[in-house]
Amino acid sequence: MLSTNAVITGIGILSPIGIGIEAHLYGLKKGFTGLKPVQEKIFDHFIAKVPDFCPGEYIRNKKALKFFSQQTKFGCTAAELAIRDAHLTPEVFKQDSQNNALIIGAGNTLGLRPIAEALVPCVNEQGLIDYVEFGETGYRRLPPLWILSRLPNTTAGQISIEYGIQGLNYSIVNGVNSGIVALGEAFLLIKHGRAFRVICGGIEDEIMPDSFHRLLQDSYAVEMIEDSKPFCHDSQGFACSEGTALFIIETEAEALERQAKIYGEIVGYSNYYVPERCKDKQLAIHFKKCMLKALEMAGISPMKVDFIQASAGGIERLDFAEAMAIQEIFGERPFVTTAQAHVGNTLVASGSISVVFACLGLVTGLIAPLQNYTKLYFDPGLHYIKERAVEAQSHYCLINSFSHLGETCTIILKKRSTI
Amino acid sequence: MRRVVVTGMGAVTPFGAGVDLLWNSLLSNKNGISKIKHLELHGDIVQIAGVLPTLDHQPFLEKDPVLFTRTPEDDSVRSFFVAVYEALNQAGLHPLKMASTDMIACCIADRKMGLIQYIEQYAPLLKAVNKENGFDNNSYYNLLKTTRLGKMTRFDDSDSINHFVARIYHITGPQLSVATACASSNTAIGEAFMKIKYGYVEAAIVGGAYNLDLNSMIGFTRIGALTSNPDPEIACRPFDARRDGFVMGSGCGILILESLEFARCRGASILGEIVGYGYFSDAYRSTDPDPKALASTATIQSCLKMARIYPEEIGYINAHGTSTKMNDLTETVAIKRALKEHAYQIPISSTKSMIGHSIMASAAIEGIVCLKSIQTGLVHPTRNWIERDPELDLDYVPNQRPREIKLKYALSNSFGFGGQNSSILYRKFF
Repeated sequence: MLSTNAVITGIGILSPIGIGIEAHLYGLKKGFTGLKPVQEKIFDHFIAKVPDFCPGEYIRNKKALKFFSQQTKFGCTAAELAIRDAHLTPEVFKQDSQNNALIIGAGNTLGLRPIAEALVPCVNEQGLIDYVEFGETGYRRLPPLWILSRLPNTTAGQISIEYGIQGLNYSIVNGVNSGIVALGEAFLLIKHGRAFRVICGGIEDEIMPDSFHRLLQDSYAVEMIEDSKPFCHDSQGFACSEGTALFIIETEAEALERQAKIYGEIVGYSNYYVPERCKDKQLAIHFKKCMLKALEMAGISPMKVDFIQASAGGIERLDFAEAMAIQEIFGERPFVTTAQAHVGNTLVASGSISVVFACLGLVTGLIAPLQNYTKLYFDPGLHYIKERAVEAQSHYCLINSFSHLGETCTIILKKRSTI
Repeated sequence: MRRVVVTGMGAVTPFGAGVDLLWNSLLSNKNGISKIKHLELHGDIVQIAGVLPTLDHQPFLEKDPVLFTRTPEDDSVRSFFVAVYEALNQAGLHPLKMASTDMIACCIADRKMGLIQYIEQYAPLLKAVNKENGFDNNSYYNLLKTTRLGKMTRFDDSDSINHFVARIYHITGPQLSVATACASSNTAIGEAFMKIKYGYVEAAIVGGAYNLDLNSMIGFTRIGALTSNPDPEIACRPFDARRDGFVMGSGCGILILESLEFARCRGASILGEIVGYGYFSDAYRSTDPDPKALASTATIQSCLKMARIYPEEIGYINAHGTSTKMNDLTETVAIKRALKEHAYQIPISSTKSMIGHSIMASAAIEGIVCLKSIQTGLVHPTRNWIERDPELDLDYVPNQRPREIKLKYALSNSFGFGGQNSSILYRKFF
């Protein structure tokens, strides 16, 4: 197979804004946000949830639902939505099954609630675990297939089973950047002729009280959603939310042959690591390298980039360095916004959801504004979109995902004429 | 297309630290499986495994004060680092002395840190909030906020060993933490191999690391994948007629991959070459391999195709060989379908027969075994292969002594839950 171009032809998204690309398009036009101020100080209000989620409406194998984790329900739903959006059918995947691939960024918060049902009856009044009882009876309360929900690749495996996908199939557990790295690796797969079509992106799991509590302890997440203000001096951290975004990526030749709509072409990808816990100028150097390498792969100058879907999610150390890096490379020219202002930080899915917003920006000309901001970094100095969405014909969009764990990834999308 | 060579290897296995110790133990047909002592397991939860050894880290780590002071405090991660250290030293690759490490990737598969390791601290809280009408998230959260939990490691729950390796050796290149269940480190090796081949990086620290925990022991027991034989001496018996399930393992296997140009430029000693990578998915069932072995057959075939060799050139197969009824049968079917009549001529052995199945780490450890076989011309036996299963009629090197062979190519198979198959082909370096 020859080296070839990779285009996005289908999107399956679930976020606090809604389910499916139409809901997000509608939200973009109406200026909706999925982040609501916290009304009552209880856990159920601290996580921005996917509204009205009924997996049975989308998942083909309804019998299997009972052993699916939330991650698998989200993933299978997003895959079905992406396939429908691309106007593909399961039969198409089965026809050339070994040339279809899956690369999935898999979030797996590994909270303890799933084991509680089996464990709790074996905890005595002093709070100590009676391991003898647990081994003799307790653990048998877990369903036989319980281990599957603890394996990060179960969702990718399930999607491959549902659609008969027999090509390369792996999951990525790079933490927050997993979803966008999956997209980048899928791009390389197509580019080097290792697959014709790839389902890729990020799927987050259910966020449980103990894993959320750990994020709060580490001062990454905020309890009150309104305390998260991307790119602002007074932001306290990121707003935690549920979400998933999967894409269908195809060779340009396949897409053109079946006259598919094309959201955009992936032309640049970079993936680096920041090994030290630095900030300000020192961190901005790493972020600049990541963006410049992606531009180099795309073969374009910074002047060509029309808008930037930033990584910024409300962690001051990261947002400030990203603003500085953008300012130093691009100056005031491109529009700057962040999807996290609308959907919060969907962890593993966050980068891939930013790519969805970038696709919508390229195909509709509408770019969503920042929300809930006060004093922005480098303002004036950066071309932030404020208050309302702007209408602009863009040709190139750059998407960043910079993780608090040190991973940096940039994707560059190019507008295509057909949709 | 660029050639990809192996210049360093490191291992920590139930036998202890070091590739030589692993290799000599395998050649001696030793048993690395024992009773699990570090977890409280009772009833019919399986209680034997290839357990991560208790290592004295000091002799390994004090050679490098920076490494010692910056290694995470978790004992299993420290043990994994002994393997990383061994591999980098053998390769003579010292990232901390390099001007730029952008061209070094970290692709080690490992299990995610989880709260299960702190289960005893959380147990009273879980009990307090689990009521008859179900689990109350809000009460649990409020309790977490008002309870002083004991000391926990400084890990972020999403941290992987790749992060630690990059932080300690100041590596700025790409990271890929791959998960394909039991095939994870073969996929990690394969994807890093492709990255070097295509010129995205010059070198990669690859492999897998795994330590068993309560989740894995109860989960794999519950699903019925583990042996019910409690005797650590004879429980693990890949390809034998009386096999009845796998034995969990733990450990770490690390390989240093480089482009041939980079390795030559550094003057590195070359231990072997990777020439083929195959990967296809069953798309059959989450828990069982496809009995027709279509995808695993295609995986082996594509591996040979990439290397442009014929079946008769393969001198040895290090099998996935888990000791489950289904795996060993379908792997045999796949080998026969892929390699035709020559399948009967190839010696096959299972490293898991002596150290158990170390999930994310197993394929990397088995890759090291393939390279040692290529270097020495010896194939280790399959422990406890005593009674032939009539359906399994290939040449499984039996439970005796190692076999001497002439060997140029060695194939390493790994298959995982979810129908994920991968094969890597290693070649003697010329």
